Amino acid sequence: MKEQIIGILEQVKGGINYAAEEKLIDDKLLDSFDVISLISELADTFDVEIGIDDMLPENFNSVDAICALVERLQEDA
Amino acid sequence: MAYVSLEFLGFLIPVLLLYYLIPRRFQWAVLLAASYAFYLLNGIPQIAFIVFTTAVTYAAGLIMQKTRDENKVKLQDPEHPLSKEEKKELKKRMSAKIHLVQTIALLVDLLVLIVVKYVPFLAQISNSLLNALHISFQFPAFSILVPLGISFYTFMSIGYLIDVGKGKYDAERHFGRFALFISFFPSIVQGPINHFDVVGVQFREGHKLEYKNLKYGAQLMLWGFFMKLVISDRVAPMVAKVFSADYAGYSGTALFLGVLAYAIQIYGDFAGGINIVIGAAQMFGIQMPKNFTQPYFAESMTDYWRRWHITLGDFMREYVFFPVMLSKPVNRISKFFRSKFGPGATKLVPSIAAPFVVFMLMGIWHGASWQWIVYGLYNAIVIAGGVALTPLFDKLTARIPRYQTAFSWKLFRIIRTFLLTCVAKVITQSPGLGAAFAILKKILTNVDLNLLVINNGKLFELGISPRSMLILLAALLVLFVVDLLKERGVQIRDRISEQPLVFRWMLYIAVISVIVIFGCYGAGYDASAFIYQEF
Repeated sequence: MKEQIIGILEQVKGGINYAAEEKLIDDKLLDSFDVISLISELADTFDVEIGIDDMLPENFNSVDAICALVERLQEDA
Repeated sequence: MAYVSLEFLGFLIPVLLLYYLIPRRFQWAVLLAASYAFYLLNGIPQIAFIVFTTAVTYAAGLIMQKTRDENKVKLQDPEHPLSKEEKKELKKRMSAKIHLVQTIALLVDLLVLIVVKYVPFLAQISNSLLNALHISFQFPAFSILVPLGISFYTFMSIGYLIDVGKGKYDAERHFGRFALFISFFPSIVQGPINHFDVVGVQFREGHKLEYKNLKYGAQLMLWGFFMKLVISDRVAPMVAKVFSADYAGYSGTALFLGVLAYAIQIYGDFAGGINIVIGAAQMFGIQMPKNFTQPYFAESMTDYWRRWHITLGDFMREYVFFPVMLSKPVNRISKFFRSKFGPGATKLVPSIAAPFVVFMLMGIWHGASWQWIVYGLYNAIVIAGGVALTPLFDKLTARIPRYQTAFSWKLFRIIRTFLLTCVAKVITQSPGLGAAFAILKKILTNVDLNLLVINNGKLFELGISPRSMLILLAALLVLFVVDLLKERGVQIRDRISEQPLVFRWMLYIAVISVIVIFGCYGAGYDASAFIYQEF
């Protein structure tokens, strides 16, 4: 799943070392438009519904965090 | 009581003394009493509104928190383990209850804001409509005295309700501290729009007296006084003269100078005012977020909105943009475009739709009038246009890669952005919407170069005397250098601290003298009128 998420991130916005980055949101590497594109890609790829309650910076700051979010949503579904 | 007044200093100093003299666990009470005293000094009947919004928001926060806590206990109860289905059902019920409480509280808070701020405007629109339809009925014209800071504290309450609802942080259980977060007197008049988890939580702890906080806070306040009194208020007469009912009597060039003057005035007024606010808060050991980062150095409109009134932009992104973009209807539209035009369209749809939602609201937040609505539309069109055309611009600039880092290219972008923001300022500052368009047209078509010939004296007929103009230019140069240093990442207050004592005090005395001597305190001058106070 991790590789898939990195692939999606690179498609949304290139030029960032996603595997190492841990403050994608806090350091404003991804802007709000990027986050929206990312969410819609994740929703399509992993068949999860990301709602407004999941919009916390800590859910999107790193690939691991995004991974954990998707896994949690898949479990809840 | 205005922040820029001796009364305010006379208010602040005893509060500071009391704050640091009493036991730290009671410091919040001193600030709360001071905040309500400050509010009362600005009009007694208005206080009911802020108390009501505070109580509703606090109670809703507690109920949501209680629901979440009870749910947690049930989910983790080892004596009654739940099946997956039961857990799901429990979570669903919890969500529904939280959303219900949240929605009611949001509606109540918003309703208060709408009634006091927007009903008179809605009545006016309805009357025009009835007139146009030749119906003789008219709503009675009225206006309510808008409670101080209502736009700011209502937005802070909304942010709190949404955050607690989604479990971003726990609700505040202490009513006094929560009331203090909503009413904290330095930020009640013109923001910043604070987040509870950033500013509110700081009221939970006591703050010991720290020389650095007092010093840095006082320095920032001093800089705020300089921006407001020496720059903003000095340029104000020119703005008042040009943007008056007699605007038609001025040449396009005079009007253009008036627009520049207004850009300077509002920056000095709002950013200067915010410096006073953040400085005063820092003296109490409360750190507030930045609201401005050198906005006139912005290279694009999007960049500008990340630098100007930052906390409002943040609010709009978090509580309007994301909820709208993640809502089901928008999602469906995005999906439709994606299926028709490929993955690129996923980003394009929100990029174009979102600025309209965000900036229309931002416009209306500023004021209930057509001018502010057109202002919102204008910003949205420029930003959405910019985003939509980005791929094209990228292609064009890719052909001339070495220019992308050139100073001239950067300067061009800065000036272009500044002029674009000036158009927005004309829209809201003109005596009316028709006047705004007439002024814009005249600026482009009616050039009067005579005005720029210094020795014919024409320039000084615009409300600023030669002496005043010299002081203004010198002050603007100082402001420019300071902003440039900040833009380059220089921490000015740290750098001042590194200087020898004699130099530091010479600098303080110089700045205070400049404010006292060159600040505007002339006859008829009203220091109380902060522009953003009206919002």
